[in-house]
Amino acid sequence: MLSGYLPMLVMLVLATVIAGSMVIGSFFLGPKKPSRFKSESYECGMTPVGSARERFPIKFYLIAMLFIIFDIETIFLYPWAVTFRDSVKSVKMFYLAEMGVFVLILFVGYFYILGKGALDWDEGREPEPVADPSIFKPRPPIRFGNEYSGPIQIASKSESGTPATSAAAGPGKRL
Amino acid sequence: MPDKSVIIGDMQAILPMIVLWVTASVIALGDVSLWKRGNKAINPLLAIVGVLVAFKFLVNTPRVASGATAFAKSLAIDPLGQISGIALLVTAVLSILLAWTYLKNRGLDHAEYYVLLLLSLTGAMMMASANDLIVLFLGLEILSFGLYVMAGFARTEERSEEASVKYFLLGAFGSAFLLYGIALVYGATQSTNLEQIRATLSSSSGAPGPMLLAGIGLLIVGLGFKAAIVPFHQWTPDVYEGAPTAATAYMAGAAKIGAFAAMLRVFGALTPVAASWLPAIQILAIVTMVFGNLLAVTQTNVKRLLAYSSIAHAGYLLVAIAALPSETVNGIASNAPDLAVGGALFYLFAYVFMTLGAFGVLVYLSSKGRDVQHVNDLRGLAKREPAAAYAMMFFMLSLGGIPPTMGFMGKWQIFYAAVTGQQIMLAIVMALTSAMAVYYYLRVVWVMCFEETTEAAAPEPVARTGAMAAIMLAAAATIVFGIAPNLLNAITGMGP
Repeated sequence: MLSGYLPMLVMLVLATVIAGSMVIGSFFLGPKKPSRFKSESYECGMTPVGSARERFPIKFYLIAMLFIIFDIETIFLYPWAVTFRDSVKSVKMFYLAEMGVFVLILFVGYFYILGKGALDWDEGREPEPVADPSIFKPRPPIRFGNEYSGPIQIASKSESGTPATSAAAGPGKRL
Repeated sequence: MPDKSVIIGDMQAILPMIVLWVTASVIALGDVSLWKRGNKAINPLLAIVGVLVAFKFLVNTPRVASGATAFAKSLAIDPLGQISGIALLVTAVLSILLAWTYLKNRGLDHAEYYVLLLLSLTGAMMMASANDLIVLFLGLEILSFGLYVMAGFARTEERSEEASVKYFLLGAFGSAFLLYGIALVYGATQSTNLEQIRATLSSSSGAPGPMLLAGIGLLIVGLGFKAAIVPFHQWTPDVYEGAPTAATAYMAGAAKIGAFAAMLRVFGALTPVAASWLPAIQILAIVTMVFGNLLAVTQTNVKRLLAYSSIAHAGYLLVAIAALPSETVNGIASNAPDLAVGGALFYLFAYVFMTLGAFGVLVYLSSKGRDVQHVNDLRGLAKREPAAAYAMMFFMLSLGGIPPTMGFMGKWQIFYAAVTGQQIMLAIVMALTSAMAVYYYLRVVWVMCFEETTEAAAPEPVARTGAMAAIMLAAAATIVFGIAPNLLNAITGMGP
């Protein structure tokens, strides 16, 4: 009964072996030059430590969210296309009509977000008047983990616990 | 190629839902293009027209006694689905009217509200006529997604946000329970089709296995979450309180109708193994009636009070579900199941009219700076706004089940079904808790009529027409169908 799952077991073993050997191999063979930014924990490019109430551009998230939705819906077209090609002629019109309905639903959503301006980045839009001027006050800049591109100096433990910053003079040098 | 008549039949079965979807799309697209800067009143108007057209199609669908299905037996075309569909469309009309007033007065007038309302209505209708557990789940999710966003529609208010997140998280848990239950029931019966499940269960002999029992238990939990049954009710007061009042009204109506229509179907299909789940439903019904009414007594916020009252009403409806399996009483064939379904549907109608009417009065009184929801806001209302106060009094009496209102007729029908189905204990608890409920409903009336207001006059609301129309419709229905309950049966085609 379970013999049908044998390929899955083979796949599981293969995946474990390949992925495991990559991790273990790079651990033993790879050169190790740690730096402060390299050893920071990685969280989608954001600075992992600090106030969670920072201002950050939300546009990217909106676009990414919409992209995911349409991406998944588009992926549905591929299995349909394969089935459509191999199907007998008498049902082709029916299949086509069904996909037409699906794409129609997709397009309603697309034109809605287009009309709503969710895909506009900046162009053609006047900035909205801001009621509270205090949000223009200087505030700590938003840092991303990869902003600093100057020479990297490893903090030595003896220097009173603070990271060495003397050599760093890049624009992103703020901590 | 599937047979042409099959396709046409399938499309006819979902024609009301298609109409709702098309209306939602037209509103969404029109609002960003054609009437982008124009008059926003076109959105609720279009929504109402869409619902009425859907209503027309739903009523015109040929009535088949039972057994007719569409989409490879996954949707049932039967009186239960059609009548709960009518109840849902009535809910939608009332809540669109309420939203029209409320959103305008609170400065939330966005077309998305109506789009979400219509789309979630589609899900609720699908749920009400689902003949397959997967379709039922799909409908439930479509219904819930709309409601999650509508609960947080006043997105600058913390309470509204909290309501939305709370509802979303707990609703997701509820859905997960339901899905797990469906999976286990499928494992035990090799089918997700409700007819097929019923056939399998009645042909198999012996006690149900642990997998089926666990599956039924999880189904009860999942559906209990959506229908707000104690002890799965914790989200209800917070969400009802935090959501914009118009959204609360819609949520109270649509979610309850969808959940109970689904329950009637699921437990109807599980009748052959009733011995395993009936005690659980009986206990849940008693606990829900007692705690729903007890907790409502201490509430000082009318929205919370109505939330607990809706929990108590869910308890009464559970009594009808407990009467479902009484197909024979003392060896004689009994009509208790039919009475239970009819009673539950009538009660759902009554619940919609009186609950939406009560929320409607709150909507009617709310303005931009003042969201009426505390009992103290209603002080001296009988002097300030006599019409609203009398309407509210009327809805409160109906919720309390005092004749000649619809609330009384609904309770009476469920009571009758319970007694016919030999659920004497439940009938007694129901009568006692209903008496208890009268206290907190009448307290609202007391505050309105006999206490003096201390507040300065609030700014006049901008628009009131929609709420006024909704209140009048609900009040008229409550009294007319309370005096002549057969009229509702004649209009919707339900009843024996």
